[in-house]
Amino acid sequence: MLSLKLLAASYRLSSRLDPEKCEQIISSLKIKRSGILDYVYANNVKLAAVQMRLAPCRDMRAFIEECCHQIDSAVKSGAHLVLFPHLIGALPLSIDKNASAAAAQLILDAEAGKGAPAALKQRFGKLIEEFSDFLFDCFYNIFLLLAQKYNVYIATGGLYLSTADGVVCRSYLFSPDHPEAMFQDKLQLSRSEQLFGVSAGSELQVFDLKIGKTAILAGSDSLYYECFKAAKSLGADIILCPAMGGESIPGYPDYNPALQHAQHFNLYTARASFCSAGELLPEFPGQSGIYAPLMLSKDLDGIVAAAEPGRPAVTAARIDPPKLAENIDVYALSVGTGLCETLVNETYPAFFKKREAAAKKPEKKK
Amino acid sequence: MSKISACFCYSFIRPKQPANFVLFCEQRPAIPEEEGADYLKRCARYARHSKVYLVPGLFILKNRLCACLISPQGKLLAVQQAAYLNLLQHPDLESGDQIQVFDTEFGRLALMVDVDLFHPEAVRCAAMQGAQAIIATQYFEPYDLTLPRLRSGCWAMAQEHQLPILMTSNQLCAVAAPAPATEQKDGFLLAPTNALPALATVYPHKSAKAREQQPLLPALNAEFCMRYASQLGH
Repeated sequence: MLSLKLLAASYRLSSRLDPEKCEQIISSLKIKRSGILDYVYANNVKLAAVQMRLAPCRDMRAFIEECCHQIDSAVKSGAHLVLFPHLIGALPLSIDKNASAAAAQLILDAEAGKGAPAALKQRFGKLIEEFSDFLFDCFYNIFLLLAQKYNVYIATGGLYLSTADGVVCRSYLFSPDHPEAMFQDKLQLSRSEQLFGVSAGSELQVFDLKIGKTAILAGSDSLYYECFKAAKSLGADIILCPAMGGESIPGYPDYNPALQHAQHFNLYTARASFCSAGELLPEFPGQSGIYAPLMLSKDLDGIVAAAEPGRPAVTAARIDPPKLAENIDVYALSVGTGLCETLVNETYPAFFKKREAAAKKPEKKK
Repeated sequence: MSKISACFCYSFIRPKQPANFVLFCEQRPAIPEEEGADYLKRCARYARHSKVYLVPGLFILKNRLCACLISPQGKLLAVQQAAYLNLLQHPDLESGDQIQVFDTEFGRLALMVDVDLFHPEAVRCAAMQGAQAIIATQYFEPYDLTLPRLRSGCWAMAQEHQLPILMTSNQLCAVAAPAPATEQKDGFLLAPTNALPALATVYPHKSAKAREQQPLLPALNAEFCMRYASQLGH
């Protein structure tokens, strides 16, 4: 029964999410090209993080207009880059009630540990099979076109899509200067993604943009300091952290890894998340903002600007990447390399070996 | 695994009951090397007399900044060298390259020395070796310690690595733990305080339960870590 409903939803949505129709909608909107990227100074970069309401879309026009409204606000405040929440590309699924209910229920069941792993994986596979292709085409074309029309960088959180390496969660950075979007596959899988059989990426991309070297760490990638450290070592000064909800780890309401890792690795970070009034998923307040090392923020708290929890908002703030080189924080940036060598040469290998052995044990028992 | 009934107090002040674990809030950045032996002997006597485990102030040993744990019998259970150094405080010292984890009646513990607690690498090293709680001793210049700084150390590490962290310093003490393992769900078992002596009770198994519910470390991407070993190893 569920399959039939999904199949019907797939037919309905595929016609409504037609990229050509989306292009027509965008053309009909009076989008004004911004000149902000024509004059970029390294010490005067502005980032905008969109805290968006997670609510069902009436139709594609409403979705596109909502995105344009957010980009308009960001551009008016002088932003060079607009960051949208994680999985924003999946929001058009909510145009169809059955599709949206199936996706929301799967997320809730996986988080609550309801259902056998194989069944959850199968349900996820079915959703990917039915919706992934045209959802991706629609999402990709809309944001690429918007980046070009507005002449700003647009970064979005990931979208699940089938590749030769399996299903990956891929985040995109759309640039007006590039005919194709830059992307980053999610490196660290959440528990639900592991259950769904999503494949983790292993390559970290650092994008050389006009505003500086930038990396994207979406969703649970931001929970692992290793991702931030590697990005910093590869030259990134700006890390974009698109997130789904307010809590980076369920049950840890105040923990904001984007804010904390800006301190630990001398970075500017931005986090954009949804806020929910309970329409598609249970209520959550959202947590979005632009963050800096303590010493480079006005109130010495690491927060350059932050959205009010629970309210949709575009938070824009100026950052000054060259200042990172002058930041002398004797606590967070103190010196000590011997431990990291031990960690990489001994501790990681021993831990992973032990984990592998532990994973093999139950198989042997069977 | 016993619960830790921690008492944070000024050095050599009689602990408040019912404490089984005392952490000194030592006012000096480190006990100089020439005073170290006498200081540690006095600490051992204190631990024996008070029948408590004791984490004294930081001290310098063989040109390295160290923290230690002394048993209720007055024996030195563990000595940990600082892996990172605050170069304004200790410009001439050498740093260590190991974080040790050792067994106690409270479970597996690791000591963090001074600014090590601001480095996720140090806590990761302890967590990967099976640490169940972290005991940290820090020193802050009076104008340097703010709540955001404290949150980026003790509190953030407790959340990211899902471990309880008992932190003592010359200015404040606090106990942070994974948010689900704390009563107010705010990640603090003892909110930062300078009112000494201060008491806190830590049940390491509650943090273990939080780790089981949201297992972060077991999900760490091995292929990624090994691929970027050169970036992570410096």
